[in-house]
Amino acid sequence: MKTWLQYSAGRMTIWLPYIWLLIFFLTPFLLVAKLSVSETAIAQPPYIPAMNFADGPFGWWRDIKKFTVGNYLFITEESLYWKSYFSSLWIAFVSTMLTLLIGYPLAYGMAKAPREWRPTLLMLVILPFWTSFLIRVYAWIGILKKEGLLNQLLLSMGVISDPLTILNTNVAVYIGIVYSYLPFMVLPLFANLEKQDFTLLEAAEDLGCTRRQAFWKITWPLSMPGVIAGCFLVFIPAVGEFVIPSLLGGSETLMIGRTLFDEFFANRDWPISSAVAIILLLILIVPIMMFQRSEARAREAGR
Amino acid sequence: MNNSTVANRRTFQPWNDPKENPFVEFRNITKRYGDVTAVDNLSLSIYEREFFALLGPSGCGKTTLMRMLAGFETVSEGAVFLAGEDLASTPPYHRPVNMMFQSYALFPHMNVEKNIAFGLKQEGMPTGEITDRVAKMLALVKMEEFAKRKPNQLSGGQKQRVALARSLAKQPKLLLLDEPLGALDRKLREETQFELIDLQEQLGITFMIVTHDQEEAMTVADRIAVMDRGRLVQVDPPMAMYERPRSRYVADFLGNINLIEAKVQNVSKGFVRLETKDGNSLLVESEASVSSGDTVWFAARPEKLQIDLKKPKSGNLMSGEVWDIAYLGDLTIYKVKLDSGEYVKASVLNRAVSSDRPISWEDKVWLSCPNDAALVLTS
Repeated sequence: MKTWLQYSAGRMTIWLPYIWLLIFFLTPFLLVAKLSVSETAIAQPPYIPAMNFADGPFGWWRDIKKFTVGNYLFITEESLYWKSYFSSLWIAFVSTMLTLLIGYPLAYGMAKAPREWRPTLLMLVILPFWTSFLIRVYAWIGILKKEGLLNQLLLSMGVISDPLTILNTNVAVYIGIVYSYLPFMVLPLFANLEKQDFTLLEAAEDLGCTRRQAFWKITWPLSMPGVIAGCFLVFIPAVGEFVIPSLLGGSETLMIGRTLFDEFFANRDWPISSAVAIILLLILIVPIMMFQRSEARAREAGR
Repeated sequence: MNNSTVANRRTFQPWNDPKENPFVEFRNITKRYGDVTAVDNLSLSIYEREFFALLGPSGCGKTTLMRMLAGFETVSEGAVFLAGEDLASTPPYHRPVNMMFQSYALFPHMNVEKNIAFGLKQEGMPTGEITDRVAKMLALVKMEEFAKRKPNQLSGGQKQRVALARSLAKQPKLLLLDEPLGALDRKLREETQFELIDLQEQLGITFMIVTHDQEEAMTVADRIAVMDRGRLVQVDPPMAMYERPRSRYVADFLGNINLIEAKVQNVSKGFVRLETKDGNSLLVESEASVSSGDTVWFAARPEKLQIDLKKPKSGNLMSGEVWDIAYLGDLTIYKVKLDSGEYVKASVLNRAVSSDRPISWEDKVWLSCPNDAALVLTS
């Protein structure tokens, strides 16, 4: 017979991840949520807490009734925020498509490479992770700036006569995002493409398809789970990206991560920036749930 | 099946008719992969409406040969002809040939119907005709109820049927079957073999099957080609192949055979007299071109050997002791240790219902076979 201790130890393994999520995800979220319904004040910290833990259960209820939605209303009224959200989503979407465009042939080539080469190729994709993300994005400044490597190369080759302005534009942001998130696109695609049965293509050819038709009718639809996984893995973090737009982007680059940062540190308006963060989270929940559903469906189909 | 097709089948021997043009012809084919020669200067003709089997152990080049016909392998030397046309410059998707793959290669993202319709859509057939043809194919393989299922919802036998229907849908002139029944269990395999024969007769298409299962090849094929290391060893109808193998390799590959080394004593009027190492004299009816003094093999299939406790009056005789008995239900196989120390197998059909064994372990027995039931093999 199981003792009480054994029983609870068994339960523990199930509860451990939930406890982890409770401490490191739910608690900060609740703190930010609380901040977002508080009022700004010239104080230290710069807000009047909307809720005091010490008030006790009855006090909490009183506090909740005093919550302000003014911060959220302010965000809906101010076009800067909406523009930031839309621009972030758009930049993330375009970057995702560009990443797919570059990542798919890359992953395809890797999957079709001789078996003994594949670990090396995979290593090359993962290798950049060994250097700090921040430093790698910084390195792009050196490449993209007016007197940078790219302009020098193009000038010396005679392709251009005047240096291009790339740094501090949206183009630089696209380059930065595509470069940084490419492995997240390549890895799920490679995992999918490598598993695909080559005889399916032969069967398609046998039934009258050219190589190209066979790719679009067989390989492409079968790689959909990989495409979807890769796109979400790039899109979701790219929406909230802060480092890349602030290092490579210019004044025209409107991204919500930067707005959030400015609101928090430059404006010292913690409640507004918390409300911005909460809305960002709500916006992202939609693609995250879509991603999880498609993953579940892929698992279902794989069985 | 009506009587005329039976009659046709009895007289169906286009390979013996010099006026008949081969439908498929491999002319001096060689295929190399780096240093490895997979197919070695091979020539072979296959005739229209024939059910032809390529038989051999894995790595003998049989699959390579078939894939050349489908267009998935190029030819290093020589040429492949289909209905008199050189196939060298025809890509796989333009060949009037369809293949059924060993792994079935069903498209996992399409249901049964769409899988079967795939090739028809590809050639641009009108939708109405596609629907009709798919329905016909589903009926042909008795899979009507499963039209909407995805491949991963089918059993192995059902997948095999869908793969067959898909490869037949375009009504190819030649159907290639690569180990088509390899993944099925024994009972289902036997049933399906007979279905394949019926199907081939019904459709009048030339079938070419690759298999390593000799029973399968014997069951379905009009002619069998036995391959070894990229070469054809023998091409014959099943019965000729089994009863008159031309080498020890073929004799051993197709069924069981007892091989006893012997010396030729004399040859006269279609008879060869042999002497085994322990001095046993054997007389065999044979056209083999041998002369006295040659070392040859006396070959007899287990079912051709008669086993007795008493010495028979005539025939080729060998004596020994029962070493092992395998009771298989329909057959009993006796492994007999001859006086020379060699082991010989004899099988007896169990016709009577009986629970006792007339011949038992360590019994002294006589093995005999008539002169025309054994072979002389030289290689």
